[in-house]
Amino acid sequence: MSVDASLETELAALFADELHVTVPSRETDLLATGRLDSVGLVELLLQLEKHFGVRVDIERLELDQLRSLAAIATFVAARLRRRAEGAAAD
Amino acid sequence: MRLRVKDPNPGSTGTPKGVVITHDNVRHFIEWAVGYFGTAATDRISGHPPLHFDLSTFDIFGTFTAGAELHLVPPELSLLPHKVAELIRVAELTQWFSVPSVLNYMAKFDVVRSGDFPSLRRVLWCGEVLPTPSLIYWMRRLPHVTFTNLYGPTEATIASSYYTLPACPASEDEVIPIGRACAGEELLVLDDALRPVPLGEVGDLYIRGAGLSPGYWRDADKTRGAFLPYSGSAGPADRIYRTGDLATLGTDGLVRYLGRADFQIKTRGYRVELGEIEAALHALGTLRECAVVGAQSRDFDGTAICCAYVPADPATVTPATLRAALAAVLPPYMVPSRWRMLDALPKTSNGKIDRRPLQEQFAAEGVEAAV
Repeated sequence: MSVDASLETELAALFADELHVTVPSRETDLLATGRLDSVGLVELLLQLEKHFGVRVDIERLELDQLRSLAAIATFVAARLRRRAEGAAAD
Repeated sequence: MRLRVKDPNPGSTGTPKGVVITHDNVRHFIEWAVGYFGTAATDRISGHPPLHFDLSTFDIFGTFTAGAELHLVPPELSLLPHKVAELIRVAELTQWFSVPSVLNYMAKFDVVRSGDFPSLRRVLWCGEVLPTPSLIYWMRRLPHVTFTNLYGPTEATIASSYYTLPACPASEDEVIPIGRACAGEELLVLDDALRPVPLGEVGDLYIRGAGLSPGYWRDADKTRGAFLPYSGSAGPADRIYRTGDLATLGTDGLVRYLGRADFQIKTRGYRVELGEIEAALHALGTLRECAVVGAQSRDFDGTAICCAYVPADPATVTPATLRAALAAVLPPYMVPSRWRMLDALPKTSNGKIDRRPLQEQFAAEGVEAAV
């Protein structure tokens, strides 16, 4: 399983357990289907920080970064990679 | 020709019911509003989704009546409070007609700067109570803007009364009046026999006048139950609409909303019958008892739906299983966000479930608490 795929699985579990939202597929549009509203988004950001240690600045977020599990996984993976590279450079 | 607007209110069947709103209903409100707010061709006005909310008819047709510019707010933008603020800034909007959940969200993320939105002249809201701390947040930052609270259920079209704040509320506990009736409408605070209650006393709030819908779409029974003939009527067509809200009429001529006469609450802009959630929970067959209450959070978040329950089998019933089961039968906004398992529910002296202590417990837990 690739890093992103396992991330997607973790995110799907996080949506189910913490946000209580069922996501049928990795490409399901969370915004258009109303699965992610403003209350859910706040919870999601909290959970991303808790589970992955990723702090997300809501000010810099773009809607497309939140659109699907696949998009969120890509976003989180990039943040984790950047952090790992930053740590390696130190 | 009639314009049918669907109200986001699930009826007793759990399916949304339609409220018929006529073109004349909308035209009356717009004529009043354009005059009262002084809407002009130079205005730049926000238009909010979804279009099945009756409020959108004011955004769209109110703007075009004045020959002003309508700026549609993309439906998903409200997720990102900074982007909403940026839209008001960049589009140089002069009027922002919003709902408390959006105003609260923007306040919570502190996206409004001091003296922000220099072009903005009016902020209006409708749909539910805007928490006073949130209003104070907005008014302190935008002293150049006029703030108007609009009140009214869909059944009486867009809004039936208004209150423009004369100044920033002095305290966070202040109750913001719903104000006075718009032209052509009347707010009546009546007792059970439909007689006006004395000034300052609590009664049921009824609406009369040009905004009244002909009734619910294909539901004559429900229409008869909510739209009543009024004895003080000038003609046979005169009716009043029972809002289900409790209110007072003060000596200052202002009406104040106090809460619901039933178990209905407003959360995130949706009207929710708590009894319907309880019915859905009972139908699961896994609970011995349950009670669903609305608890007001202390800051900007408004009302949270909370459930206290006694499971038949504590080993298999958890908030997660209950949530998942409810999510399959109810829309997401009706699924309780907070849960508490109890050995038994508190009862009143006559054996009914006592919701008050449950409500107080949930409120005392604050907004963060989730099981």
